[in-house]
Amino acid sequence: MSNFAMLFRGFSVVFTFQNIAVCLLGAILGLIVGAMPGIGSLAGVALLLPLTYKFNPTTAIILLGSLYYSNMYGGSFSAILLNIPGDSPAVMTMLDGYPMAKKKKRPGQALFTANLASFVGGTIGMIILTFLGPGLANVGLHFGPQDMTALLLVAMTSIGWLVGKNPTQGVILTMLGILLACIGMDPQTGSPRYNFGNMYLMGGIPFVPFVIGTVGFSQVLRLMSEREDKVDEKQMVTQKLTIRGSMLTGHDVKRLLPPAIRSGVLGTFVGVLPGAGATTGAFLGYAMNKAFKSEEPFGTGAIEGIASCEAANNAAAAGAFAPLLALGIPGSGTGAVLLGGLMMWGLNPGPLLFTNNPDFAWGLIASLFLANILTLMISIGVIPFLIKILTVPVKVIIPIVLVICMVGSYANTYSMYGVVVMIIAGLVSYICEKSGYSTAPMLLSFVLAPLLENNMRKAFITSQGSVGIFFTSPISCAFMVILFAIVLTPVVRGIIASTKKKKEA
Amino acid sequence: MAENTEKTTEKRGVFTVISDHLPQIIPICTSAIAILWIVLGLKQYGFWDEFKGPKTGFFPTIIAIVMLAISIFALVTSGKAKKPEFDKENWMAALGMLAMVLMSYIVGMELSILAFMILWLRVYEKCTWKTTIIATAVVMAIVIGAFRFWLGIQFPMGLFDLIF
Repeated sequence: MSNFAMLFRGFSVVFTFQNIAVCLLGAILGLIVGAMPGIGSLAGVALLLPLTYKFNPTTAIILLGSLYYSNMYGGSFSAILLNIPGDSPAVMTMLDGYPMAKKKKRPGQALFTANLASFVGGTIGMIILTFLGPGLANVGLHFGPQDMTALLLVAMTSIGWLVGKNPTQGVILTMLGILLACIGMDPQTGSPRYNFGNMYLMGGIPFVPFVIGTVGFSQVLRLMSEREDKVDEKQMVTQKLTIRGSMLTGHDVKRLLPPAIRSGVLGTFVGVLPGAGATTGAFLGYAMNKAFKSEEPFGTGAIEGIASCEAANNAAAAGAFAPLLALGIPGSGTGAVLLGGLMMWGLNPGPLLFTNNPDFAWGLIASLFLANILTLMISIGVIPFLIKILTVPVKVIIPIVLVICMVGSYANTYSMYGVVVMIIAGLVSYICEKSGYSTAPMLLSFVLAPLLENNMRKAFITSQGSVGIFFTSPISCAFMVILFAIVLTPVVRGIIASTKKKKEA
Repeated sequence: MAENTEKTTEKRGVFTVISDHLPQIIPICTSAIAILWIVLGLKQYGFWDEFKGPKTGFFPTIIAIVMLAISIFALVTSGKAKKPEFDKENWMAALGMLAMVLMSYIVGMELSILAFMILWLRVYEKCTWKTTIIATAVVMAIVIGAFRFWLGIQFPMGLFDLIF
């Protein structure tokens, strides 16, 4: 069956009252989480995980997927009106969004541009995903355990390399995530390991409290020092916003479309790469479109500037679903949480997902299309109320998030064990983040560790212990070359830098 | 009084020393974890079986060896790392969380959350009653409406468990 026919089948799955309702809920929550500076999609998805227990997997992923996706819309609101990005991908939107709102006194049009460009970019990303997802899954079907092992190692180390400033630190936390995932039972023999005689640890470290602690609780600890920061009223756009007054002219739309389409295509492929994500997509989209002609220079409030980064970050968010669904490899921390959710609901993302669970895979893709339309409508509808939503003080959000962290962790394990795991994970993550260690690689590796172990053991059983198996097939050989390049680059750079210093001395 | 001041200085000194040396402490901790995982993997769980292939400790041991090597590299190069700065205020959220957990054992989780929200917003953050009541109502609606009634989670009742 052609991909579009399968997509229509996905729509038939999505169009139930419950699924449309959760898609709408996800879109609203995503907009709020994205718009409020400080929380972000990762914490938003993590905090919402416990609420998905009651849903079937398709409805649950529709909720989380639409939240993740609509978060990309919300991030631009505070960037445009307050000059504060709601989420990291919105940093680039600030460059043109805020000048357009403040200096040119066109805040409504800046918001409308961001919304429309997000819609265009997202739609392009989803259309490409419709073809790319099953295509990648077909490629993945030919992967043996050695190829999968090499691919997983590349995915894990590349995110450690790309996220954060220091690749070495990224790799350390990647390995730590794997070791923590080894606590509990051996997935193949069922014998306990690394549980130190503790009954709770025998079941392993529970995923939901671990994620809530790592991203939710640690984020609250960070927010504590920002809670007194009031939005500078001089900096804030105070102009009254109406939907009618925010409409774009035909000329504005003509200016918006070309950069949005270009960024949409680029952003999708950036989103597919592990570790790159929406922020890199927005940055590259902006940089690429700067090279093209624009009516006004970038950075002065150009419509083209807002369109290029907003379209790219939404397209990247859609593109990131391709490796997640087709290969079971998430490209970012949020992707890792979504993958963990899929596993928690008993699904195995990977090449067989499109074959074994077509309703789920296509239902999710169809729900993204629906979320895109719903979010566009809501984000235009909330324009008159945005200033009020954005000025909710952080000090009020902090205790609310703290309570959700505790209740969500308790609900997962039905005991204080979950809460203890959440607190420890949060404190360790906070200390690590403060010391420059990014915890996203740890989340990713924690989720992927069982898959890696399974494939690695199979590969070694086949080769009877020979490492040579990773260099026999061209696929795994290519991945191993990439892996060595990723691992050795910081070491070689370090040696070169120290040699230069010695020479200078 | 003087003794108290001395103690505070001493305590602050310990925290400062720890935070100043975090770039070294973290790789030392990860090295220690790696060594523990290697020892347990090799001694207790086993690495390789001649006939069956990889044993329970095989995979964790390999990963721990890689982590140990990278942690040592990070430790050696940690001299240039920027020292992190911690604000006392950041720890208040952790204390609030701990207080909420401990209170759960006495008055139960729901009452503990209610008390925490009111005390935090009204006393600690000095919010208006209006803000405090709205935020508390939102939280209680999530906890009781979504978690207790919809998801059917039975929260601990603390000492009330003994009474009822």
